[in-house]
Amino acid sequence: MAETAIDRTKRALDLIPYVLERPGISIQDLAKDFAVSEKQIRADLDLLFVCGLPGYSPLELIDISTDDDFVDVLEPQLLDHPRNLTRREVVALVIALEALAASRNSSDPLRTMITQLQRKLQSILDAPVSKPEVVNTEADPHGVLTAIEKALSLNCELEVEYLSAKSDSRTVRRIAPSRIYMQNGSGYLQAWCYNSEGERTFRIDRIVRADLQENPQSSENHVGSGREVAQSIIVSIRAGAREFVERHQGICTVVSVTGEETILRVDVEDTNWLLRTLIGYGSAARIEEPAEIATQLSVMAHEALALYTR
Amino acid sequence: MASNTKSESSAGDKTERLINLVLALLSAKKFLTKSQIFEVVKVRGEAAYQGAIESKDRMFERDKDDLRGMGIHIEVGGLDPLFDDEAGYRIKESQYALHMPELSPEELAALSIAATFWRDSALSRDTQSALRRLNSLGIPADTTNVGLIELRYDTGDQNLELLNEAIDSSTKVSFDYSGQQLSKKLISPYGLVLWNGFWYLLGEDAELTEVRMFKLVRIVGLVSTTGKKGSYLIPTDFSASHYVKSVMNEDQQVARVKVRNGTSITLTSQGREVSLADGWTIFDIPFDSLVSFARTILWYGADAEVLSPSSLRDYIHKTLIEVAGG
Repeated sequence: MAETAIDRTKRALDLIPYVLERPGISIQDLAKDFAVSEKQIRADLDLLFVCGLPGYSPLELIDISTDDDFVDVLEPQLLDHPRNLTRREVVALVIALEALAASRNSSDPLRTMITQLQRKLQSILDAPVSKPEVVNTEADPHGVLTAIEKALSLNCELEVEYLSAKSDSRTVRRIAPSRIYMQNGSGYLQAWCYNSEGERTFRIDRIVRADLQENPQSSENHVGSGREVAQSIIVSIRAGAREFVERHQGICTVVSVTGEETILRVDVEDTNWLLRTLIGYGSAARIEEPAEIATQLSVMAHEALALYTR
Repeated sequence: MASNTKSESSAGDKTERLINLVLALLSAKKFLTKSQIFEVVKVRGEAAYQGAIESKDRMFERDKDDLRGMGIHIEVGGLDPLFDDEAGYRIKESQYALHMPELSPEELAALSIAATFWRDSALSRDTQSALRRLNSLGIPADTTNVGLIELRYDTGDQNLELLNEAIDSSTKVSFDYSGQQLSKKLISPYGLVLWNGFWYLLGEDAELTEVRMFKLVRIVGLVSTTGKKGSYLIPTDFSASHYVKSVMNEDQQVARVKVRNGTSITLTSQGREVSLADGWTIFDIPFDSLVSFARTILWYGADAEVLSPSSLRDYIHKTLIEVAGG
């Protein structure tokens, strides 16, 4: 899609104060930061070079130098300060901050900081925007998030005590965290696990303890992930099991929709996880293929049913 | 009527014209009239606005709209109301430029993490552009929080933005909702909440004249606004989070669950031990929603049995019959 003159104008206006804050920044870095090609940045700078105040004498033009691909603004004219935020941008940031707040406990100091930040953003608008709300669900019940973040920024290892729902066990593991993220309401920690010698994902609400280890992460390459191979299971879903799809969009592919029934292909590494999840949806979810997995689900239900029919 | 004007020949020309127009209006000590603008604004030595007066006018009106669309505030004022009725224009530096109350490096870091929320949405470009400008304010970068959590919501969609705008301007919305069946809803939106990983709209349903909750992922397509802005009042005592909490607390119950010893560790970590019996332990575990708690119990298969309440026990029993019989 061809870029509009409006998008280009915005970027050109924003380049000047951005470069002023980073004297000598390379064309390459500018291209990366503005998510356009180096060629485009060059063209933008060339264009700015001929713009200026009425009169357009050398003294009134914007002056930029691009020696050896390192950029400096010598004369910004009146563009030394960044363009104001639009209402739409403020709204987008305020909503995003609310989602960030949802990842923290209500007593977390970051919550207070976020509220202040939202107020500051609102203050640049003539009228405040309405703000969505987060209903407090404790995303970090054991208060381990701070220790994990610290481990990530210091590049340290952690010793964690983890409740695994999958293997139904409580284990102590030594891990090297690589990334944390919130996905649809739950926090996850991705880490190299020394005990299982593989890359593992942990639910943050199931880490009951996280202790920072003094030694920095060893530089040895964490290779040879113990990941299992994904298997495709065909599942038919009715309205009552829609939440399954909403929660696990990443692994679900719709094969067909007939009447009230949706046929899905679910790619899972661990069929046990799928069985334990699907059993809760009753007749609203049914495994179509492979037959032996469908049988496993039925056997699992029979075993549990025995508790209720005594 | 208007001939093809040279200045519209390429996007480059238009960009130059817009930048020079911004600079001319920013540098103006007094309001500039249209004829002054046509005279002084140039692109590479030639008048930026060319052709018949009507086409110059149209081009300028479009430019003005474009700049306003970019969030640039163009002030309109008369030069001298007694002698001159022609409107003049200027851009005030205080309105053009971003003047934030001071931001700390930590706050800036929090903003860049928050912006990951919009990753795949239409608002991602807006937030990235906003961040670049916030990063041009001379606040030192803070890297101590690089480990901060990333946000990934499969449900961060355009309806969130549309609904927030509608609430902002008290405008009714209509949409197709995939509830028990697919149906058309007309709603006076009151608020948005993020609860348990999903976004919900709260608003008065025109048909039921009652406040209802709608899960955003179940809205089919995009919502559309209907009627005028300011067409209803949100009750002053309405709080979206209080509403959700009251709906949840109605269901706050405690389940008595029998668990095979050494199993169901995640489940029992939320409960209180009551008694021991023959390889099993009995726990009291609080829960909010019957259906989702039933799913949690069912996860443990033959290792956990609900003794009470009977509503929960019956629901699990029925679900197991469905799965076992199939």
